[in-house]
Amino acid sequence: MQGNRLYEGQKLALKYFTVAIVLFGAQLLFGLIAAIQYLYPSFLFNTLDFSIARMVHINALVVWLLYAMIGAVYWLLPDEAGVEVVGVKLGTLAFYILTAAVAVVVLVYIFVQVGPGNEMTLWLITEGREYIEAPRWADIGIVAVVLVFLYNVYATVLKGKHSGILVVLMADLIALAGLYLAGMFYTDNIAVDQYWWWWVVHLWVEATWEVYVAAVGGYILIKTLNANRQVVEMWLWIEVAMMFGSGILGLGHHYFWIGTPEYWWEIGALFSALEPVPLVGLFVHVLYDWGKERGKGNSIKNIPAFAWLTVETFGNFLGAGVWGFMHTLPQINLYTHGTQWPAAHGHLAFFGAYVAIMISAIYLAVQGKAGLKEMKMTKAGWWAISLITVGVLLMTVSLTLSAYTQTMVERGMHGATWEGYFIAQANKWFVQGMGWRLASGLAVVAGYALLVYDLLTVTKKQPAEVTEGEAAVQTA
Amino acid sequence: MEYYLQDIPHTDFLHIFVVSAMIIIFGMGYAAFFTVVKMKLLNRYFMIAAYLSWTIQAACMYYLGVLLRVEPYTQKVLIGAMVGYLIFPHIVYFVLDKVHRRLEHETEVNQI
Amino acid sequence: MENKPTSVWTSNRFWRRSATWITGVAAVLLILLTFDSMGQMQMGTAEDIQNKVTKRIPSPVVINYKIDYVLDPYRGHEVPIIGGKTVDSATGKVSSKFEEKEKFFGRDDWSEEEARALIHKGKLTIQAKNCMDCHTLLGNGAYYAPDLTKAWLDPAWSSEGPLQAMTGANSKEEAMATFLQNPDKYPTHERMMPNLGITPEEAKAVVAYLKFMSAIDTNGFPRNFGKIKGAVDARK
Repeated sequence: MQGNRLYEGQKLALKYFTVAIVLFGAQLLFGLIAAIQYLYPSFLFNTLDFSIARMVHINALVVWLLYAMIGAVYWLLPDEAGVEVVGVKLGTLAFYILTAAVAVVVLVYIFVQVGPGNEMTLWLITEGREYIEAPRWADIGIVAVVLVFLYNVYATVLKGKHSGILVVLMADLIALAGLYLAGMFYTDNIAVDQYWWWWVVHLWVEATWEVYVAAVGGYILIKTLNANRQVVEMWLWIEVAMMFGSGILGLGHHYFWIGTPEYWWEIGALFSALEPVPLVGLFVHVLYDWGKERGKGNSIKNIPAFAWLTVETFGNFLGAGVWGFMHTLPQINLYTHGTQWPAAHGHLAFFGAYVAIMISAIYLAVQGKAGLKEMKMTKAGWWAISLITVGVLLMTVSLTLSAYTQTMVERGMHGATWEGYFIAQANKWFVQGMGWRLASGLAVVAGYALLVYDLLTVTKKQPAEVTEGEAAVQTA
Repeated sequence: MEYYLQDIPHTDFLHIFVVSAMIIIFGMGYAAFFTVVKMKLLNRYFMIAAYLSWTIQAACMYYLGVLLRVEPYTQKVLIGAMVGYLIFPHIVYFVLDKVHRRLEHETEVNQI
Repeated sequence: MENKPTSVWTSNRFWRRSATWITGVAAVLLILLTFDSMGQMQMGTAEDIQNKVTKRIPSPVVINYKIDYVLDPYRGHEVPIIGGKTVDSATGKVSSKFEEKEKFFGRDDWSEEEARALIHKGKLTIQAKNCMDCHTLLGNGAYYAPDLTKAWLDPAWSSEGPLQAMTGANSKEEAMATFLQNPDKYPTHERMMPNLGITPEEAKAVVAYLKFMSAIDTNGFPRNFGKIKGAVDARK
């Protein structure tokens, strides 16, 4: 970072981050609506039904994470490569096209909602496949925008320095983009449909996104702790080996019950049981680096970014590791599949693995934009991180209570019938869990408001200290 | 190959969830205590806590196997996994320590 | 730096290569397994049913047959049974007879083309109406409404079940189709299904899809289905 002077690529990154934070707000708003509907089903009934609220809730999450991920790459790319991003004008154009497309898709989701059962609906309104509902025209647009992004990354790295972090990112991003193509076709065979659908969903969130996080996490460690680059990069390769080694075949845990052959039981159980190992590794690594640098008496250069990185390692481990392993083995998954268990696991895992690190990267950009050498945590920042983290943890525990009730009552006692389903949904413990979930959701929303406030004001609230620019003047 | 999924009584569900969570948590405890002690942030007697965590984890894993009524093949895989996990932090620390030593040594040499 | 002997453990190159190899091997294994799975997951044909060949995903003409979900002691879990079952006396393995027919909207002679067209429309409707954002299909989706994997076999929709009685229809398929067109007219619980503007043809197609889906071999998911009412002979 060169004082206040940012690369053009970094300015583009700030645009991506801004939209990301706005969409994060939309995600929380629609999540709140869906949570209310669990308790008061008549809320917005036949106006904005649960299906729509939930679809926008999850799509906003996926899209804002992608925005933040692209933003973080544009932020670190010129810094790591040592040169300006090559096609920054093209990148900016792609940004505006993508944002316009996202706006249209969301408006169609909210105001058109569903269409007649024909191909036109799949092309124009929704594909109706959980998580990747975006209509086909938007799919093609997304692919075009991603190609521009990939071109920018590759051209820039080829022109500048090839750091290990960038090499991992280059390989990972191409896999990430290529996998999206697996979710862009239609078939009448629902088993085959879901088979390929999981290629996109699982190989994104449990393989390529994890590796992305490891790479960006390495960059944040270097920036906040001054961690040794060679150690970070070597460790990154070990992480890649462990994550892809367990994550790619860990796909098997989605192939237990969708019409797939039985051998996926063994494969899925074995590899998904290995999936927490790289998360333990990541945790140990952060702990190790922090201990080493502390031993040398080095200070943390960006406390909010580092705090969110810590939340990320804990959250990823708890959400993806502990909550994942609780219901991943086929013997127990037979009873938990399609209950609130995946909801409990998903909330903490997405927050821990992806949300926290993206916020960390945004804090890094806020620091860079202001050209601050060190950034302390403000009171609002502490409240934001505490409210959001405790809120999501409490939400996960509440959903786990509901999930446990549902598994016991619906699956254990009533044999997974519709009657069993409704008896479980009306069980007082299930309803209690949903109530606490809503309450903790409100805490997260409050935390979000503080987070936005803090991101806008944190640089102004820093104790008077020399910025890099001033330091240069002083030494001169 | 013959496949068989044993019926699990719903009264065992809670035990299964708690025990699986404990496997991962004590697994983390083992790795964390191990790293912290090795880095001399804690007294070395705490290494007992690390191995104790691993022992509890192994016991939990055994109990989980019983609860899930796994067949002999899976039992062997579970035991293998636990032994592997016992060695895992040693290797990780060994690698990290070596690379740090090498790099720190190099920096000193370079400075001269 | 290069000419100094360094341990392989601290060599960046060693780990980069390991990562590449491990990723490559895992990816190749996944692709090989995918080829095998895809072979086993192809949709069956009417010919398979004539020849009494069991497929994981059967031909859509199963809508002409009676479908059950029974415990197979050999495989240790419930399996879908199409048109009556036979039991192997040695192993206890159950398999479909593909004989016993059942009328679907008054007919049991839906041709392969007709049945395929029907489930094509059904699948498109299921996607166009976003079913998966409230319900689960094969256990995947949202958890706001009941699982649809074996909805066709659910005791609630049987002739003695409360849902069929509620719509006043004489058969399961008619009851389901009537409900789907005006779900908010038949409030079953406080949590209701919204009106999604499903047309009579779409409703018929969706019900056909549900019947077809109930014949997919899901390795025993959902477990203990119909344990309480016994409408399905899962625990007989």
